[in-house]
Amino acid sequence: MFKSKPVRWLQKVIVILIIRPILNVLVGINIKNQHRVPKDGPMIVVANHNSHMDTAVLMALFPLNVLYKVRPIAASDYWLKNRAIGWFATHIVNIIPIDRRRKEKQNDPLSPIADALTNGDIVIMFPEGSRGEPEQMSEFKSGVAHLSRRCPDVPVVPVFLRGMGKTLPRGTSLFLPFFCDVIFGQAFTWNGSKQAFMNRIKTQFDLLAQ
Amino acid sequence: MTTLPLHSLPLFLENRLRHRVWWMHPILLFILLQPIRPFAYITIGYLCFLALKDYLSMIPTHRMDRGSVLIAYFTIPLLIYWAATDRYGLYVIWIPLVVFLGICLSLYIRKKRFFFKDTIRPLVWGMIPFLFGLGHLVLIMVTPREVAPPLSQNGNVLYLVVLVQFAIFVSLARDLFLRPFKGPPMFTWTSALGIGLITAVFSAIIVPLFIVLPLSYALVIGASVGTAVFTAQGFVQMLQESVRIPIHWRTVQGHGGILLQIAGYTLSAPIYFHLIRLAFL
Repeated sequence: MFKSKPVRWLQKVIVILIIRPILNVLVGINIKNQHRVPKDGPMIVVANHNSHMDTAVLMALFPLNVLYKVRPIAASDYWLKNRAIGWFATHIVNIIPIDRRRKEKQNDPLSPIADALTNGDIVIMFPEGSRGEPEQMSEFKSGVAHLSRRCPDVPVVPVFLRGMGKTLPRGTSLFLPFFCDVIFGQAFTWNGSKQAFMNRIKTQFDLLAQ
Repeated sequence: MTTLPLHSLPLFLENRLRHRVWWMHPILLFILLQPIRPFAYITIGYLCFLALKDYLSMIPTHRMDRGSVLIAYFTIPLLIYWAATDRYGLYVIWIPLVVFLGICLSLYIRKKRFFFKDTIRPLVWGMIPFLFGLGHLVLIMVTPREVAPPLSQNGNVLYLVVLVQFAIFVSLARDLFLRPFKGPPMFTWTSALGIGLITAVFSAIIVPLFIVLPLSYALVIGASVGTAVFTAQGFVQMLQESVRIPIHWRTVQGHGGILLQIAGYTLSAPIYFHLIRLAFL
């Protein structure tokens, strides 16, 4: 996605002056396997989802020079309902909006994501679909498998997040500092079968959670 | 839905992790002794915040507790302010006041009366050692300014820090040399007595370097600080075991593990503060 220089600069400033200080001084992020943080795209980062903090934390972990390539997938019905939030989401957070309630079958929700991967972007996916209950992991949906099948050479990096559900859970706007863990797993690619792929993701997350 | 599993770590790694953050102590010492006092008070306040956060991160909390947790966090700057301005009366009643007035009122007004006992109990267990106990470091730095010799303000802090570090060292030496690779330390009456006695003797030897204190007081302070450090480590271990987290799991990266690093001060600081007052005033 093309982004003007001022917007890229603003994105960096927000990460350096707001997100990173909050995460380092107030929250306290414990990163494990930091050497596995993707340095460049294309890449699919798959994480469990409990909080809006998840996206902020993942974005703050990437090197600043690839920040403009980091593109979280987010629900358009939630993020684009307000113009100001919509501008912030699309320009600063750099989301790829996905319509969760699409009625027309012919609109392929994966095509903008596949295009982003073709452009060399780092896509952040939350296969649970929604934030769910704090510190609970829901069943993963198979969208990530379909995406990986479409882009079989793009590595998938699993990231397990713990504690964000306590810091800023769904249904509250009161942010409270608690320690959080971010654990990066081993990257892997499409292995030819949707079921095997989903099983692999599930196994990786079980291992990272231990 | 699957509940996320808790941490697990091979026990033999725990002693190694315990030593990875040794550099934190010299830094803390430097901050406590540097001449710009407000900077030292803010640092102690931040340590209290980290310790309370570590504690609250470990224990299960309800969604309804969030307001109470926020109040607990906001207690820290005021508590440190009372300590820094040497208002011990306000310092002592501040946590009961916050807990039984602020938090109760908050729960009552929000009609969350049902959560009263579940909220108060864990919060008090966290606020007493990690805010009230640790905050005594500030009180030690501001008193007793009228009776102690010129060196006393730094000497007081330095004496306590050296005693606490020595007690931790004795405890670590016991773990490393007597029980290597056997997991977390054992807490026995013999160990408590041994660490208390050794610290008392050490205290009597080093006391002339720091403050003017009768030998008997130095022995009592040494024994009390040694036992307090030992007990505080036991407290943190009990706490972590009760939520099934190995004692030395979290290191200072991301701040986790702060409880273990400062546990020694949580009980020894108030004891030391009162014994020193008893000796001088």
